Amino acid sequence: MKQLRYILIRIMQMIPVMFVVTVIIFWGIRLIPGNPAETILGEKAPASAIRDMEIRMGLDKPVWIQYLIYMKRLFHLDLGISIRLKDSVSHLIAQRMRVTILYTLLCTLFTLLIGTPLGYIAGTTRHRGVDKTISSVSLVILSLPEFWFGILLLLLFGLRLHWVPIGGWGETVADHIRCMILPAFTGAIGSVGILIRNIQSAVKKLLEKDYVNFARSKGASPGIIRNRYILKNVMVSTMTIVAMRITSLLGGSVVIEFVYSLPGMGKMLVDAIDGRDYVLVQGTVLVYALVVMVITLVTDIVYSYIDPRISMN
Amino acid sequence: MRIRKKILCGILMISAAAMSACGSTGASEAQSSSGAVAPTAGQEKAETGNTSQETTTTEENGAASAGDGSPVVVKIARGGDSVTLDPAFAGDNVDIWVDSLIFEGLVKTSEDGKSLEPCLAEKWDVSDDGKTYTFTLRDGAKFSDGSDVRASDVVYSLNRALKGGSWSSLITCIKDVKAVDDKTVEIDLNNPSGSLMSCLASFICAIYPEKYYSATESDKLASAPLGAGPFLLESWKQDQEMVLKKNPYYWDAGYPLADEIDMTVVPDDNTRLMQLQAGQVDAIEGVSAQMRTQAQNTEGVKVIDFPTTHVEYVSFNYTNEKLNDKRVRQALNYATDREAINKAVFGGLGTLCPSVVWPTAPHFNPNLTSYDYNPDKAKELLAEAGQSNLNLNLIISNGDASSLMEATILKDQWSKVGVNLDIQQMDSSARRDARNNLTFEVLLNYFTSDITDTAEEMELFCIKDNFDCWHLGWNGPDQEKAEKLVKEAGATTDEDVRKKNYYEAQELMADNALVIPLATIPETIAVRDNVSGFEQGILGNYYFNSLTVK
Repeated sequence: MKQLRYILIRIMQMIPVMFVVTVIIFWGIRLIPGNPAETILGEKAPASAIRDMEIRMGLDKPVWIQYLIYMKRLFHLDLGISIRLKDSVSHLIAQRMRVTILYTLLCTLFTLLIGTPLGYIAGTTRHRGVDKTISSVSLVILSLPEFWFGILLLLLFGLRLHWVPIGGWGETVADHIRCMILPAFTGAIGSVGILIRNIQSAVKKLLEKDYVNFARSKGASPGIIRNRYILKNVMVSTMTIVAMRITSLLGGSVVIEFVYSLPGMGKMLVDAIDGRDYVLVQGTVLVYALVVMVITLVTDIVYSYIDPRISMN
Repeated sequence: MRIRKKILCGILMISAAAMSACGSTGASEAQSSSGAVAPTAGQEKAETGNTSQETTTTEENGAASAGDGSPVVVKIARGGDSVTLDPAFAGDNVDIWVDSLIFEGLVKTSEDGKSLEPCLAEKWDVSDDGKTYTFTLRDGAKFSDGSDVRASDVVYSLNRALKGGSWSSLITCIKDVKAVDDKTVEIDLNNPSGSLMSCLASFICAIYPEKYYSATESDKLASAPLGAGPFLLESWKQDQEMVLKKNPYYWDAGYPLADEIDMTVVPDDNTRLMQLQAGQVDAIEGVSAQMRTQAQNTEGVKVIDFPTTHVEYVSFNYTNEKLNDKRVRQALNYATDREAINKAVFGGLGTLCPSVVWPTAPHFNPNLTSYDYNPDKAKELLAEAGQSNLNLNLIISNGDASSLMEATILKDQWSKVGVNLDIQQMDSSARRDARNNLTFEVLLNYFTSDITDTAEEMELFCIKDNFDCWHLGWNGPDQEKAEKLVKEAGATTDEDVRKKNYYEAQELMADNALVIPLATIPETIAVRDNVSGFEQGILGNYYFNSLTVK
C-alpha cells in the first residue's frame, strides 16, 4: 500500500516536470536561429514561397499562440506531423525506438556479461598482475573513440570475415539482431570500463567488511559469500551505473548510428534540430523526458527490493 | 531472493535469445554459401553480405545472362537521404537527382550537357518573335500508372511550378500555358528567353499527372511522386532505403535496363566504401578525395569522376564595413593560394576557375582577371586600404570535414599577410540564417546550377532582388550596371547579345573581387567492375537508362 502510494506520488510529480519540459523545448528550439520553411523549400526559394509555407505551417502566428495550439494538441496526445519527414511524430518515434531499444538491450547485456565477471575477478584476485592488467585495460577501452573502434570492428568482422553485414538494419528480426551485434559491442566497450572499475573497488571494500569476515569464519562456502554477501551489495552501485547508461543509450548514440547506418533515435533528433523540424524535436524530447523519468522511477523501486535499507519514502 | 531469481531468469532468457540469434546467423551463412536459398528480396540482401564477392558475381551473372526473367537489381549507397520528391519543392541535390529518375519534362538535356533532346515532346516550334513555343507531345508517352501524358497535364504542371513552386523565379518569362488540343501545348512568353528551353529540360518543369497531383495533399506528394520518367518509387523508408522500380510504361521501349534500383542511406564515408569493397552494394556516391585512393586500390572497384557545375568559393559580405573596400577583397584574393587548397582538400581533382561560373558553361568568360597567389601584393593593397591588422570571422557548417580543412588552410595563408581569421562553426540552419541576413563577414559557400544555361547563376549573383545578389550584399554603380546587363541578356534569344552581356557582367564581378572562386570540383562515385551505365550529367542528374549489373 505504502509502495503504491509512493509510486502514485512519483507519477503525479512527473506532470509539472513534463510541463516545464514542454516550455523549455518549445521556446528553446525557436530561440536558435534558422527557419524551417526555408529548410524545406531549399536555398533558392523566393521569399513569397517561404512566406506561404510559414503561413501553412502556422509559423506566422505569435509564439504564445503557437504554444497554446501545441499544448491543445498535446492534450489529445497528438504530437503532430514532422515538418521535414512529413510523417506523424508518434509513428516516426515508434519506428526509431525499435532500433534504439534493441541497441540498448544488447548493449546493456554485453556490458553486464563482460563487466561483472572481470570486475569481480579484479576485485578478488590476490594476483597483482591480473588486477593491474584488468584495471589498465579497462582504462584504455574507456578512452577508445567509438567511431574508430566501430570502423575497426566493421573492417574485421564485416569486410574480412563476412560474419555480419556492413552497416544497415535489415528486414527480419534475425537480420536486426545480426546487424546490432557490432554496434552493441562497440557501445558496450565504453561502459564496460566504468563498470569494471566500479565493481572492482566495491568488491575490494566489501571484502574488508566485518560481516564478510564473520561469514567466512563461520564457515560459509565461498559461493555463498560471493552471491549473498558480495554480489548482492555490489548490485546497488552497479544498478545506478547501468540505469544511467540505459537512459543515455535510449537517447540514441549518434556516433554509432552514423558509423553503422542505423535508423535510430539519436540521428533522427540531431537531423531534426539541424533542419529546425520544430514538431519532431518537441515530440522526441518530450517522449525522451518521459522515458528518463520512468526509468528513474523503476530504478528507485528496484533499489528498494535489492537493498531493503533504501526505503520508499 | 525471489527478485534475484527473476533477474537471473531475465538475463538467461536474453542471452538465450542472443545465442539462438547467433545460431541462426550460422545457419543462414551455411545455406547461402551452398546457394540453396530462394532469391527473395530480403534474403538476397543478407546473402550479399555473407558470401564472398566472387559468389555474388557469378550468381548475378548467371541471372543476367540466362535471361530467365530474374530481375536486374542495382544497389547504390549514398550519404544522405532525400527530403522531398515533389519537383516543385525539391531543394537539395539528393532530392533533385532522384527526381530526375522519376520525372521527365518536355525536353531533356543530352548526357554531355551541351544540347537538348526531345523527351515527352516529340517536336517543337518557336514563333519568329521568340515569344510563342508550340510543343507536340510524343505518342505513347505515359505516366508510370499507365495514363497518357496529355496537354492538360503539361498546363497543370507548369502552372504549379510557376505559381508557388520554389523555383518560379527561373521561369518568370512564362506568361501563359495553353492546351491547344490533347497533344499540343502552347507556351506564351512575356519576352523572348534564351534560357527557357534549358529550364524546361530541368526538374523544375517536370511533367506530372494533373488528376493525381490536384487530388493529393501536397504533404503526401513529397513522399509519393508520380511521373513519366524511367523509374517509379516503389517504397521509401526515410533515412534507410528507397526502392525504385522500372516504369513499365516508359516511352523509350527497351529502357531502362535495370528492373530495380535500391538506394540505401549510409552516412559514414568509411562504411559506404567498405560496403562497396565487400560487394554488399554495387555503387557508392560521394567519394571524397580522401576515400578516392583507397577505392582505386581495391580490386574489382572503379572510380568515376563526373564534371559538374559545382564551384566552391569564399563569400564576402559587401555590406560589412571592413570588406566594403574593393582593395581588401582583392588583397584577400591575392593572399589565397588556391592550388594548395585544391591539392589538400580536393586531392588535386578540382580545376581552378576565375569566377563562380563553371568553366564549361555556355557563356563562361575565360579572359577574366585572375588573382594569382601573391602575398606581397596582398600586403600592399591592405596597407593602401589602411587595414594592415584585419580581424575577420569565417563561418563554416559544423561537422563538415572538408570545410574545416579549407578554413584552416585559409587561416594559415591569410595570417601571412597579417589577417587574423576566426573560424566559427555553425549548424547548417544557423549558418544559412547568417548568410541570408548578411550578418556574416566571410563564409565558405558553393554553387551548383540547376539548368545548363548560364542565366540562373548570372541572375542570382547580379540581380539585387534575387537574395541580395546571392547573399553577397553587392550594391552600387557596378552592381546596377551588371544587373542591367544580365536583365537585358535574359530578355533576348540573340546569342551575340547574351554572350557580350554575360561576359561583361562576369568582368564586373571579377573586378570587384566579390568572392574568392576556389575551384570547380567533380562528382566522384565508385562502382564495382560489373556495373555499367552509371552516368551523371553536368547538373548531377542521373542518366540510369542503361544502368545495369552484369
